[in-house]
Amino acid sequence: MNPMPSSQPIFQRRRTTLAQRLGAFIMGLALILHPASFSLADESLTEEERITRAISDTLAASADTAALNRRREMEILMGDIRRVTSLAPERLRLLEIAAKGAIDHSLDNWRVSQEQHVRQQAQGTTVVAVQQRIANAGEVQIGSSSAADHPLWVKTLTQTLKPDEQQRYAQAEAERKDYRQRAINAILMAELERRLGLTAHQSDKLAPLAERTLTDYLPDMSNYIDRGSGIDFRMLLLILSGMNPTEAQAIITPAQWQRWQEITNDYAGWWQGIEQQHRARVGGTRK
Amino acid sequence: MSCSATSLRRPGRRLIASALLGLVALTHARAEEEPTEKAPFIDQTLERSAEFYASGMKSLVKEVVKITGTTPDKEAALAKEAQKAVDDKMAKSKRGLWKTWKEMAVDGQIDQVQFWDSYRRLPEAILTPDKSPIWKDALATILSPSQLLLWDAEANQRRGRIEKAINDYLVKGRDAWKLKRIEARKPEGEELITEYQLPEPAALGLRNGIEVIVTQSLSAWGQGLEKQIREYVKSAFLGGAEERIKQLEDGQLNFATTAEPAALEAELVHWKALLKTHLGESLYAQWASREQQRLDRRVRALAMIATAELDKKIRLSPQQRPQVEATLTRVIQTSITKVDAFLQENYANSELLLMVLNGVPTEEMKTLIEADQQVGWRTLASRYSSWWNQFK
Repeated sequence: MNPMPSSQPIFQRRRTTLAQRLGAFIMGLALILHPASFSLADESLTEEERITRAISDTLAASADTAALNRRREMEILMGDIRRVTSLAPERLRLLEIAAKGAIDHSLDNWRVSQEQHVRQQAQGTTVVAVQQRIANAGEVQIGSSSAADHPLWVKTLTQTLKPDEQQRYAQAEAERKDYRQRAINAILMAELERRLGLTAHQSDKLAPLAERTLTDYLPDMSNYIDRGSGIDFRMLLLILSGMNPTEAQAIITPAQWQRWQEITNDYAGWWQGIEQQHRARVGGTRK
Repeated sequence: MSCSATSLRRPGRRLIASALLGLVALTHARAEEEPTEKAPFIDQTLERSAEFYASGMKSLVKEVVKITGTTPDKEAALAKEAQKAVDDKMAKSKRGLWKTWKEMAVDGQIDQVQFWDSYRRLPEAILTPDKSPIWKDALATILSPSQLLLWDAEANQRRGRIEKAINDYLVKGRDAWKLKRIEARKPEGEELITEYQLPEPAALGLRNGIEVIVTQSLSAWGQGLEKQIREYVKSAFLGGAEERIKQLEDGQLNFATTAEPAALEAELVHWKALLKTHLGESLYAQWASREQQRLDRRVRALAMIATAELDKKIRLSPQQRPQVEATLTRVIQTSITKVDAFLQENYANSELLLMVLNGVPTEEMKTLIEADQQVGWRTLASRYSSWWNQFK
């Protein structure tokens, strides 16, 4: 970095420097008085011990992150329960305690998997290489479960909410699900109209067919279209594959059919999986 | 943390050390309140830029020497002035960056995409050392008149090559867009001709008019793209000049979106005018009403799916959901071309659509949802702000 010219804004330099100089002076004094307090990178450790420390630090950090993510999820969930049921603070407190326990226990299996994963990444190298490798180790999904599914949480929730509160909460959950289903139906038609250039008449004819097929197939498609990253709009259009081809092609023109094939071409192979799953689930044959 | 036997026998010293450590933490916390501590990315950027420009200006000096055949003492003088130009640029950049930070930071946090968008508009950001008056004066005073002529000729040739590369790139992209839009409009036109049973002259006018209206909208095409290209090659006089220009000439670069919402918007205006001419008032009103209904349905569908996605993340109550949907409907209505441009990208999905949260003013958001949900909303809005800013 080039030396800072004198025309730089002084608020960056003067205040920071004073604070840092004072800190450095006190730090030096403390170091003289008690050097062992500062042995974060102890020179006396063997390479193996340093590797062990690096692994422990990484595991502790990833466990903290995993716990933090679950805590945020549970905070949202508790906020939802509070809004829907108007739960009194003392009963909400019970849920908070249960949530903490559920978060901790839900990480039990994950901790084992994560440790195995990190140790596998860390084997047979120097501390520098280990640090680099485990820094990119990421978080395993194996053994990971939601705190909201943990029996401790589920049981406490059932015991804490009165029957009418449980009913209100279940009703809110059902409304959420229904809203999402309606949103998917609406976006499916909007995308079909936009991507295929459907006329109003075509749209009117296709809508009931599309909605019926979506209702039939959504349980089989949701793993494909409604994943963690949201609904893939192109993949959603695959639903045309689930319609009776004669009925569908009687509504849309050959040019539109071809356009649809071009749009969904990348995903066409996936439909076989969806269809198989559908047949296995409903036990019928394709309409 | 290990602790030696000697130090354990000295609890007094340990206590003092702990107290001093606490004091260090306090002073350090104070230092962290300073802008430089809170925005390390600014210092990192400045450091990288200083290195980039210094190395670029060094190669520029070498090229001036090669073209003009000037003497080693003049080369040294040029190198000195080149470094001055870099220092001047970096000092100005630093001022601009901190000025932007002070204007935009809220509680020590900033949206980096918006931050850079804002900073790049400043003259401090646009300036490069090779365009600095310091460097221009250096060339004029250090080189002899004949050497200056030689260098000016080279510089002009280089500028010409860059301009041609930019122009060729834009022409190619514009032609591709034009073709794509004509192909998209043709079936729409044919459907209207069939549906409304247009007489032959009107049908012909509509068919022939498609290319005309797409061509008319081309003036709105590529403005954002040209800006991005110019930003990319603005340092083409410096390091990597040849490589950057070559990439541009060979069409190897992909500058963000090719959806061009401004051009789409212009095209829609011309398309409506074309239909009005050839359908006549009555049929046009019929078409326009139907299109408006379709658009309303579409906007609502987009707002619903965005609401459902948000619902999944922050769990809206049955009372909040319709209010959020109405707000997002309004945002999408006013930025439908932006949203449509986003949807034309292959990676578009319902979660990325949450970029629309950036269109809701913070104060309004606070009236819609509770404090525990606002954290999630802000996180999502910030995560997808780059998409919101990209599609202008």
